[in-house]
Amino acid sequence: MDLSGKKVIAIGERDGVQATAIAACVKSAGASVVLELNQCFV
Amino acid sequence: MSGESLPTAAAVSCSLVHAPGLVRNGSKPSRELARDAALGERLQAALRGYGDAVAYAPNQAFIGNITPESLWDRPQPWWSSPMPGAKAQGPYGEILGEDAFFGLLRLADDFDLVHLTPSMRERALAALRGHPLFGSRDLSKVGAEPATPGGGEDGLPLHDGAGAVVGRVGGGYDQDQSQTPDILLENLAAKASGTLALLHLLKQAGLDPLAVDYLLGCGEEAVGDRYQRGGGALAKAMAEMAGCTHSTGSDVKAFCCAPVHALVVAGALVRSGVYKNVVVVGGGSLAKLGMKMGGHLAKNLPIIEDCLGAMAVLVRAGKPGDPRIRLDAVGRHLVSSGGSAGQIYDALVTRPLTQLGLKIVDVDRYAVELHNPEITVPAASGDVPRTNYRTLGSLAVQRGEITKADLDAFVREHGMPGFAPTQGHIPAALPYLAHALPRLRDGSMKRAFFIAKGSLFLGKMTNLADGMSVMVDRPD
Amino acid sequence: MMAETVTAGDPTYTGPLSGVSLGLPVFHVTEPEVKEASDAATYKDQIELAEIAMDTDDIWKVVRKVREKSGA
Repeated sequence: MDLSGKKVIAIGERDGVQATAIAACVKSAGASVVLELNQCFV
Repeated sequence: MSGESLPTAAAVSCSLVHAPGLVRNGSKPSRELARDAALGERLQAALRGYGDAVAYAPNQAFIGNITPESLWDRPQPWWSSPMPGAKAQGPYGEILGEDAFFGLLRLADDFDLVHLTPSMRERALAALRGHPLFGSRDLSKVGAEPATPGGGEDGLPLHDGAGAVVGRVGGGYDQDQSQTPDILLENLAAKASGTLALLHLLKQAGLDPLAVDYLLGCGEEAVGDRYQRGGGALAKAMAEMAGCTHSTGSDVKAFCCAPVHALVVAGALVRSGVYKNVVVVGGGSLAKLGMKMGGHLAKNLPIIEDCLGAMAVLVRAGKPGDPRIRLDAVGRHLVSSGGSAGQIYDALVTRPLTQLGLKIVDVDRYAVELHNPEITVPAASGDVPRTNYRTLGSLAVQRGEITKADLDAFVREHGMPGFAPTQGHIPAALPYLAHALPRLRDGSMKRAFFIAKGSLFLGKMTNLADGMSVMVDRPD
Repeated sequence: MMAETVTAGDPTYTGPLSGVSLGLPVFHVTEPEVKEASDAATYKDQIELAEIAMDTDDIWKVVRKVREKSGA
């Protein structure tokens, strides 16, 4: 999948992958992150 | 910092309050019921009786009648495999019934906010008169009409587990949105249940209440008024209710991470010589009752989130041989630590262990967020402790301490199944300290490591999460 | 649940996206589509440890189902 130029919403979770980590990855794939959010399931 | 001067966790108490009638006052149920009143009947039908809550194996682990590790070998689901002959009292605390708890709510109430019906007053009195911690106390307040009758007329109805209205809770000042009846009920529930844990702690440690110097509250309730929402504290209120009249206290706030922050602060206060006996105490979180009810009702499970959790830890100077709180290697998730699992575990585990010259596998047991998976998995929230133990094990794989094939064995040898109710700060690692202490004392365990995380981002003031860890070990 | 919420609308009808279909395609960060597009070193640094601990097969199944259901 080509993520370059795509706008991404990164939804993370405290005990899994947090949004900053997702954002770092998709940015490295050329996407721009428009929103970082974290969820807490407990 | 020499080992001899490190403080010790001298005692830990863990109690539950079975409060099925208050489930409807939980945040999720109250919102759902406001939207769909017909849900009330389904919710009511799914509530458990006291006997079921007592015979529920994770609850038995919480109060110390069985070990958390033994849950692995018990038939699952745990809720449909009650433990025969289970007792409501355990070595670390008890599972209190709701009649007694309504009485405690009234005992905790210094402002005539709680108005119980005459029949509930009688039930509460009967339950408390026979209770080892309360039987000899002045219970006249529980049995009497409050001095300001009618104050609760337009208050929030209180229900028992059978669904009957058994009282009302009034609010604070008009137009004070920080003192609405539901908020005050939450705070009173935290105060009453926390005090229960505190009293169990004093009894267990054989400590005169007057010997307690300072208390650190670690609960998550926002006590305050319109000018300082959340600016108040519960520690001193609980101290007063428990008769710790020579003490004062304050609250440490960091969501679910607060108990480990508080344990470290308590240890530092003792080690510095400011105080001799410091108690970390956390009451139950009413807002989290029935939090995952959607998943439970959809899968025809009982409402397992029907218990308030409460715990207390006594921190004091150690004698030679006592388990030590390793203040010399505290793990902290720094602002700059980063949010990936690798960065979090580096901050909370690798760094403190490296400081102590230890490997991951050198620790006997890790206590992480100990949420009962039977509550979270049906609600699609995953098995929190399992994920944490597998991440920890994966770190050991990355560091070459074990192979990937050993991962499941690592979880079994160094972890445990979640056994705590989803009460925010309550599952945050420390309930296992109750289990670890006797083993650290008798030498069947050398090191236990406690890791808590908090979702600071929930408060919308930062996108950061929080984390804190500390090891408790047995001196050589 | 997050996958369904941002794609087809909040399945629990409790939040602001109740019944609101955004139609956004949703991926888990560990799925090959994202992993392979990402810089390998960044992925290793940021995601790998969590990935080892996860039951990724189960997660992928759920997320793919949401994508297929919505046609997004």
